Amino acid sequence: MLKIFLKMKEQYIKTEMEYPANFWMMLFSGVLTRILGMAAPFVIYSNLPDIAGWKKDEIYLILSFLFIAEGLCSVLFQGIWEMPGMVFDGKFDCILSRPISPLFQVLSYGMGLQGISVFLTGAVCLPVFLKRIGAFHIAGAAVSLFLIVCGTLLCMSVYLLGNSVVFWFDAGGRTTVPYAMSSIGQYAKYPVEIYPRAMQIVLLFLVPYAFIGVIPVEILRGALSWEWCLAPAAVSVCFFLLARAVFYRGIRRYESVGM
Amino acid sequence: MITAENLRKIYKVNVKKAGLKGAFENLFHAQWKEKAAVDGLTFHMEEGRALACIGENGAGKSTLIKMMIGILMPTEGEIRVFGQNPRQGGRKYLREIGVVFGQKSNLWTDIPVIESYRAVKTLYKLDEASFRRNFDRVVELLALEELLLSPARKLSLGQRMRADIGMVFLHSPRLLFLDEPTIGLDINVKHTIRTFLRKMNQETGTGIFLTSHDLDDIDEICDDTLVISKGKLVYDGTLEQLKHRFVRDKMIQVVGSQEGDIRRLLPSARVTAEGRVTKIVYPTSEYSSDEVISAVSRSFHIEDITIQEPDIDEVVSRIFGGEGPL
Repeated sequence: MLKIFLKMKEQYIKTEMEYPANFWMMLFSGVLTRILGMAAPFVIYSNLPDIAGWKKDEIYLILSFLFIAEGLCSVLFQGIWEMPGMVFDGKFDCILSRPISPLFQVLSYGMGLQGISVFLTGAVCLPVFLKRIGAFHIAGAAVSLFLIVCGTLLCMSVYLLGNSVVFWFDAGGRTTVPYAMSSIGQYAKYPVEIYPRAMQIVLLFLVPYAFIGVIPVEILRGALSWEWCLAPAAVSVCFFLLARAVFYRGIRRYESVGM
Repeated sequence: MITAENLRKIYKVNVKKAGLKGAFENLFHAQWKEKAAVDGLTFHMEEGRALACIGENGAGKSTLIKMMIGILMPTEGEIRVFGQNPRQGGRKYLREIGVVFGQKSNLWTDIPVIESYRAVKTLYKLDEASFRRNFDRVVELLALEELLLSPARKLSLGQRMRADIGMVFLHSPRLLFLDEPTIGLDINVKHTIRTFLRKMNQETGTGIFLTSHDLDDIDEICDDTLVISKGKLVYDGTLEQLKHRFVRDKMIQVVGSQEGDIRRLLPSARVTAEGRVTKIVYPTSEYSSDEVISAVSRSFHIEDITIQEPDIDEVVSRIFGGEGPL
């Protein structure tokens, strides 16, 4: 299974590299937008000493975690975003007529090139800011790695959940739900305590991006104990199971196209 | 191998009013109408047969195929393939069948055809020997050699279709579903594909269920026919019988000089003469072939004679032209 998955990805990366100009543009623009994204906290912190007890470097560490999770999701599981289109134009028929799990096929389909640069930005920043907050040691690295896996799974599950809505509300091969979820997720760049209660609940339980960035940094900076690592793991597994159930429910409703 | 009993599939269709105003109204209270795509089908197909399903656009052919694959759930009735419900057969079932949609490709778009084939080998867990055997066979019969290395998106429609059809045989399926496999292809490719399908059906015993508009597909590939109109079964039987029941006129063309009056011998026939060629169209209900031949031989000095086979195109247009169910 894994072999096929990697093989598919290898093929897609080859395809993308057939257009070198586009490849470098994507890589460059991806890095640039993420660096610009990091400018906002920089501006804020040049005016304020801290936000709710959070230092600048800690905010950057949150961003690094988010970039890595988003980047990996996009590189590995881009197919989730292609799914609504496939449902709309009936290409999903092919997926349902092959003897392999439909979920696996959706996940292995396609490849988000811009994800590479997002991931790279995150991967470069992570050790730098780990060091700055004094968590650059083996335990810290191990915890970070574990939390990245959880975060990527969580990110994937949120996308899958959002995009599975297409089986119920198909608006011409796309649905606005995952985009809405993703833009809500953008607020998870900052510690949840700064938001009103309702927003906190959203970021912790509905679009639980807080578990991708904020909670891991809370653990790494020592505000939460190590056992808290289980929380992102539990949330991501639960979300994955939920998203998977919704996805399969959706397939039962799939109507295909044409007569 | 396939049994359908009183099979129905009802879609809900959103009824929209025209114009921008209609679109606005639809936002607030959408109206839905029920439409039966497949409406009470009952039929049976034996193992290893080749069956063609004919019907006008929107007759419900694709819906039927999708229910047999297990993509769609029937609204009512029952469908069984290999004695089980396709929806419950799961992956084991999907491994035994093969599916080709004429309008959509099963090949991975961006990778070379051969990579798609190798992916099939891994996905279906085929052993090297049987994969090789099937691979060599389809490559030879469909002349795929030259296109194995190009990515699917760069193939012409004809090449793509050949590659698609070849791919579906790699895992030695017991039963194939082909939804308009020759749509939009040129005559050569059509011929290659038809010969190939016929050969595979006869030699490997792979069952074929195909839908088509192209009546030559049916003529050249299939033994049995299912005619569907507006979701209902109009005819179920062999192609020969279908022709028989629907053909009311036959035509004989004679080349040679006329010596007697054919019009007197066959008063109900239409006779048109053009130089030395005479065409005689006669109703099968009134004259047997025997009578006609003897009448012709009495009134002509025959140099050449051809009896034209009834054209299936005509048969089908007659069925759909409202001459009613059989």
